[in-house]
Amino acid sequence: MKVKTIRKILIANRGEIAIRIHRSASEMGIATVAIFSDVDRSAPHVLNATEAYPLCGNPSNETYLNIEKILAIAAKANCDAVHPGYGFLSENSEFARAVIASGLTFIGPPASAMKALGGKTSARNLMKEAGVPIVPGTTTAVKNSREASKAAKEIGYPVLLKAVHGGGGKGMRKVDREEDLEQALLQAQSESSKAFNSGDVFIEKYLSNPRHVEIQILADMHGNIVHLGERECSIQRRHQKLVEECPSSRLSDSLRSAMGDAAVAAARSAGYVNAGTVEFLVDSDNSFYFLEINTRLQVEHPVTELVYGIDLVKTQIRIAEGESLPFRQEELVPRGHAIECRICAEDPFENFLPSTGTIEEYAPSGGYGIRNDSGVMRGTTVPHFYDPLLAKLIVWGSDRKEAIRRLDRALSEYVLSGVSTTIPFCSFVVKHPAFMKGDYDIRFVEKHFRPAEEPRTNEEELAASYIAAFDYHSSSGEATPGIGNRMLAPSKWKTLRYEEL
Amino acid sequence: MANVTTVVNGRKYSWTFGTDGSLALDDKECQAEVLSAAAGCCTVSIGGKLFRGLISRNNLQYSVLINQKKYILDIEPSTKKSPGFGNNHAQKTHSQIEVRSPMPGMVVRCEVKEGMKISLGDGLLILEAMKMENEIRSAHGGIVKKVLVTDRQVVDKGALLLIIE
Repeated sequence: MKVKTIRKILIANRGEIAIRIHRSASEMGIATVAIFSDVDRSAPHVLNATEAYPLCGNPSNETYLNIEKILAIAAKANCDAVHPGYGFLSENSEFARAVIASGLTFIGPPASAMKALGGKTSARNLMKEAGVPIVPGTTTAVKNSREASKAAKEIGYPVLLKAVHGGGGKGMRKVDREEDLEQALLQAQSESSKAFNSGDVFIEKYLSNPRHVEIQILADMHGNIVHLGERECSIQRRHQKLVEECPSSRLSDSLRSAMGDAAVAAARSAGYVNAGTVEFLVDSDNSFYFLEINTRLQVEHPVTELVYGIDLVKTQIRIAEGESLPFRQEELVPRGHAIECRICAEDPFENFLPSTGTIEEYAPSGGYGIRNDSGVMRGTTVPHFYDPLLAKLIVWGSDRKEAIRRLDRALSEYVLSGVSTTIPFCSFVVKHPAFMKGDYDIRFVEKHFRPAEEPRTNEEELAASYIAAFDYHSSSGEATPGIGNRMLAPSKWKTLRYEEL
Repeated sequence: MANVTTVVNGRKYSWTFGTDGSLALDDKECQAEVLSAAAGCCTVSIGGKLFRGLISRNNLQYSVLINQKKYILDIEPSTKKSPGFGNNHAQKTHSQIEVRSPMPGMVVRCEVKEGMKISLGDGLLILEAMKMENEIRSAHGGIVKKVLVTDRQVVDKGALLLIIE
């Protein structure tokens, strides 16, 4: 059923996802073309590719968001397909259209489906018609603060401002009171226009304690659509996910299949093809509301891959080549449990403030059931221009309990220095009783995370003091050569025999 | 021989690094050693028990992450005269408070003007980094003496943004 063969893919992205796509393509015998901004010149996503070309410049709009430059490179390198990854241009239907117009294959959904679903307001209208429940709110963008104020009053505070063309929590603001609305609207609009080239913002009712559960779907060009179960993504900060798991610990089989059916119906109503994700909010009474369809690969797709044993990127490429789905719904059986932690360059002890710099030491964890999808190495610059995601640590276990223990172990092994990361936060999550019980919602961070109140021990304090003193001593220039530097003279303690201990 | 004193949570630890590789804590011999020291990462053994610390340093202030917990330590400036550089991005000189940028980024807009009276927690400016807009709030109350940045200006970490009096 193959209608075309893809031989060379331009990967219109950077960081871990560019490498992720390269890996699958490479295993399929497909060449890859990397693109890079000035600061990314020697980034791992560049070094791994078959070919790499500069975008010149650094800000996103001059580089990874610049359709003209990207398509010029694709033409120059004789690519026959483009994979957009996630973020950047991945949900931009104009980009998909432009790719196809230049005679290339876009590895993703048709531009028409992206346009219908990418706009959150049009997606809400579409779902309303298809009978899928939606969160109460406006079905069009609000034009100004007067209109916003009127709509917010009707919906009732607190409300959520959301970018119509957004994703990843950017351009999103919770508003508790009318007097905060104008300022929040300005911020949301400005953030949104920078990130998504559109300042359109709509308003939704703010649900108080929902869980964020999404369904992975795959659709081919021949009308076959399947779902690959759910991902539970309720651990978030600033509306951005940090820990995701598959399956959800609280979904019953009947709820899972009801949501799966709704997701497939949603995809069918939009004429969807390729991989996509239907996001839902699940209320405490287990009623679910359509949130949006992400018309691309999700950041957290690896948890589904580990549990269902399917390479989603390879499947995306095969679908784009015109192949039929190689499996039917009843053949898709989940096995075990997978959890992903996002390792972002942010300081969890400083309210997740972005952290920039250069990666000094990098030794990711390994062992059975561990997958590290990373975009960095020692010496990689973490610039302020792009998303703070550095790597994703994904573990698989035969059940949820084993997956949690394995993740805890893997997090304590993971070494990444030079910038602050979310590793301490992820470690806090997997050790927390509420997470272990599977009893949590999207307010987990505000409810539970108090890093300053974590119990300290005298032993750790002593060790911290020794480490700081040693580092200061080594760097002060007063240190005797060979002592207190990288190479240590053997201390008496080191040469003690065990009988003397 | 060299002495380094650290202060953590008000407690002092005085380390003596001997030229023969010996180590003493508060003048008593200490069974501890550094097993591995790489940039920003150090593993030590204290009486056989291992601890790995991720280090970040700001002049005389250290933060060491051990077992996913952050310990903030100050090196006591015994002989050195260099002033401590606070972690709170604001530095006090006389009655003036310097507000410095906690990260590199772009000033989206300044929310205060010179001469404006502000209170603790007021938003000072919006700084964009990693595609997120972050509001920098005031850690002090006072009068805005000087605004040293303009909208759309790209700033480095530690750049002087405002002076509050």
